[in-house]
Amino acid sequence: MRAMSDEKAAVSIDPDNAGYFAGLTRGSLLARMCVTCGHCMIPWLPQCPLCGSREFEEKQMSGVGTLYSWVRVARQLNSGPWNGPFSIGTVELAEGPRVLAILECEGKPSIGRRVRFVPGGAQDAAELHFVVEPDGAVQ
Amino acid sequence: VTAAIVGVGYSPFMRASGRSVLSQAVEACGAAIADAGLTADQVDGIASFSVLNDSVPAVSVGTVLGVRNLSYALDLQMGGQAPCYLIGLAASAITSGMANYVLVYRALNGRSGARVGGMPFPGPGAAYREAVGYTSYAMYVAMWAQRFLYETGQSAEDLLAVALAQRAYAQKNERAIQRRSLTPDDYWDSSYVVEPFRPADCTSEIDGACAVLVTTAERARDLPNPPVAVRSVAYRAGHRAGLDIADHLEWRDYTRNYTSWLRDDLYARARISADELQFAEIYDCFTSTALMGLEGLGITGRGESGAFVADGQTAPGGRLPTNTNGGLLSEGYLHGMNTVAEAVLQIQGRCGVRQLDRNEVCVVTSGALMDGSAMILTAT
Repeated sequence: MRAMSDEKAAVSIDPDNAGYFAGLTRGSLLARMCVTCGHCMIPWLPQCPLCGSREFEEKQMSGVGTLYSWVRVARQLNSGPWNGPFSIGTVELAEGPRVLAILECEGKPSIGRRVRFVPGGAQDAAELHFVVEPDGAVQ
Repeated sequence: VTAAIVGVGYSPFMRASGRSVLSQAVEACGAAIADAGLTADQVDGIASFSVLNDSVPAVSVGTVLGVRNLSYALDLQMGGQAPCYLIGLAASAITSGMANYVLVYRALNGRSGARVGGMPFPGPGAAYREAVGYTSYAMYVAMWAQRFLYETGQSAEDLLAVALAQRAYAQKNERAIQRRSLTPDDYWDSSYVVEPFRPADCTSEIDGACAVLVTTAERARDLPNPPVAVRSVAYRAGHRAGLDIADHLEWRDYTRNYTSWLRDDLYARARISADELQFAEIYDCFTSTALMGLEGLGITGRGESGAFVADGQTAPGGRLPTNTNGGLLSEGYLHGMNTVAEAVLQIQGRCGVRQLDRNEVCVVTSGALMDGSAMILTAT
């Protein structure tokens, strides 16, 4: 299910998160990885909360995850460009971080389902999309 | 016990006040001062909280009230996590000698002005939400509720139980903004706002103000109202609590909120156990938040909160009457300041037709998700 966004959502890019959204624009889902301890972060933090390091690399995520939770927005809840109905998922990536994504799904999503990153899933590349795999599908 | 709550004040709760926030704040604070048997000259501390710049500063309220020697002023940028926490800070100000009589208030045009439910929250985590339209507070609590119901084996039936129980209380509360009857059919026939929430699962946003007055237990003895003792206060932001009020990507467990994390401190500081509570005023911006609070505070076991409510255990005469004003769901969304005020009025025996018989030991909570505060209030 696509979100009905007919104008581009304003996204608050800052020096901490710019690399993440630049990656999405190229069709890549990137975590910020701490080079000292290997911790992968989304959101991208300015310092590793586990070891305190500020040296990072960009780490390509596999794009495979499971659905931790989801909501279905049934109506317009604010004055932004987003009109319901659409579903948003909290996706737990195989590598550990969680992301928020628009869910593309036949019928209702359900917790625990396998989901997969859809590169360039929307006209606005910052609009992260995941498809909910049919039951039993193996990546 | 070193601090006590001695006065309560409100401005009318409305859908469109047609008034300034300052005017409503001053009315509620003035009412709390008068209720405590004091005058504005005696007030020397004022504390409040706001989100999205929706309130007025403590100093402005002091200015209009004519407070002459404001010695403690605090404007906390925090949402519904704040009320119990601010009572604790007021108590600290009093015991440290910074102030003697501290007003704590919340005031906002929460319905006719900026509505929290329709305002995206700024902050370091905002971009990740804006990119996918995750931009309403209702979505955040719904995201937690969905996982909570799944993991604890509960369902929308359990959410409905909360909505019904609290509406029954609201029908005995003239202040409540939602007083019309609610039936299961009404609930099931209504359409989703954001699944799993229907309208009756969501708080009713209002315009209004509410204030309480805090002083020392010693001074409280000379004042007209029965003092309400602040036995313990706890605040907690759990591990990886996030980058702002709406960011929970780092938080791992959407089935347990801050109440699970502060519970042990809260009871230990008050030297009581959950079994000794006589009633509860649990923050309930959504139905699921009340259930999560009952479980987090150890009042019920995990996954048992919905059945507890459905069985009448939070109704009058039940094991633990809860949200006796109708809660934020039905009385109105004053961000938990009214939750505190209701606890005070119950302990003082001033709740009229909804007055509880067992009213001497209460737990109050403030907040819904990663961080929040709570307190134990008792009769003296």
